[in-house]
Amino acid sequence: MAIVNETVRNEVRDIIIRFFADECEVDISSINDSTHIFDDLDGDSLMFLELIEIFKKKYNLNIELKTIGKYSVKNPVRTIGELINMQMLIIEHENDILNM
Amino acid sequence: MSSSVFLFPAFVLKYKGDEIIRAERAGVDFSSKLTELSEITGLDLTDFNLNKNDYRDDELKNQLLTYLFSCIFNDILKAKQIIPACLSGLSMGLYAALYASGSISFAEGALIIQRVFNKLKSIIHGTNYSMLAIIGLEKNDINSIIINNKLICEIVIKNANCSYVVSGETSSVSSLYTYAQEEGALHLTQMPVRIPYHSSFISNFSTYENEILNGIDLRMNKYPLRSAHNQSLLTTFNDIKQEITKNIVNPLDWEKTLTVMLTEGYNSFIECGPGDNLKRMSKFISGNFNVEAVH
Repeated sequence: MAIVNETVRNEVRDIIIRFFADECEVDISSINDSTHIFDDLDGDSLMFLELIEIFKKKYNLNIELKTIGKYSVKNPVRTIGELINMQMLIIEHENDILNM
Repeated sequence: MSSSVFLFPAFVLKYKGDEIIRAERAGVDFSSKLTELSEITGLDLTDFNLNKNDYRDDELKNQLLTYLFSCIFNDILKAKQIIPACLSGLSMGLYAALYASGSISFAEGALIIQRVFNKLKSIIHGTNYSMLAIIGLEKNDINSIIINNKLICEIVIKNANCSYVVSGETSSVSSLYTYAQEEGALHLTQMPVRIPYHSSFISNFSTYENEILNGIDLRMNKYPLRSAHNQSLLTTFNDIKQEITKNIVNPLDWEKTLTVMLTEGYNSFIECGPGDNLKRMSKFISGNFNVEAVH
């Protein structure tokens, strides 16, 4: 588990926003926490997965994809801000995210 | 002259939107190509545009248009002196790979796709089948769901770690969708097909090899061509002939296909077709390599 602080949060936010700007071919300045991933960016759940892989490698996370899937069913993510929050929880709690 | 491995998709789930523009910028008369494909198949495909959902949802039209774009992009790359170091096609992507390798003509590839589709349709005798892509579950998770719930379906493609495709009876595949979601699958996609490709439900298709290839003038491939079902190189005329049916009835391992090519030293791949599905799937395969969509 990684230590979660403001620096990590900013790093996660930066990675997520750059990722969607690149994948969805939109200006980085047009993405903020309230941007809707599906409606505003035409994003999809495969992009979530790509991001999860990026964060798994970056923070050496021990988490199964299906754990994230089960969490997502109960806590669906729609906006960039919600995705940042979920990613922070994954980094902090890894496979224990379901026990929260 | 540069070289990369050319990869060919079976069908398109989502167009990028610039496929026709890219082709026409490279000097391709796309309308003429549609007319040519229509004349070959006897199907009117001339009103195709990227936003018409019926072309994406119609199984045969989707395969034919994917094949058309794949062949066009292959020709554009070669005109730019970008030559394939090796070729591989995922599922029906094989036929575009065979075209790119010089083993069949454009018309022959289109005819094979149409014949395979029509023959498979007759084999399944009107039974409703579906295919489902599941990402986020292990093979054992999926098989447990299938066995525990007595579902009539089976894993037929491994795309990457935790990324599989299942073929089976539609009611079972629908149930699997629900169970897989409950189990924690992150991404589920109903594929636009009604034939259970690569499954035991169509195992007798191999007996129709001669019918499918009737009048087709198969030639030896000019570039190395790798099978997606057993990862072997197709080096003889008989290999190519058999692959045309083996590729349909056998389970595929796309991850292993790419991994074998990685171990051979290839690390640059070009997805030669519409959309960017293969490029996106490759992000879940381990290794130091790069897959770029051609457009």
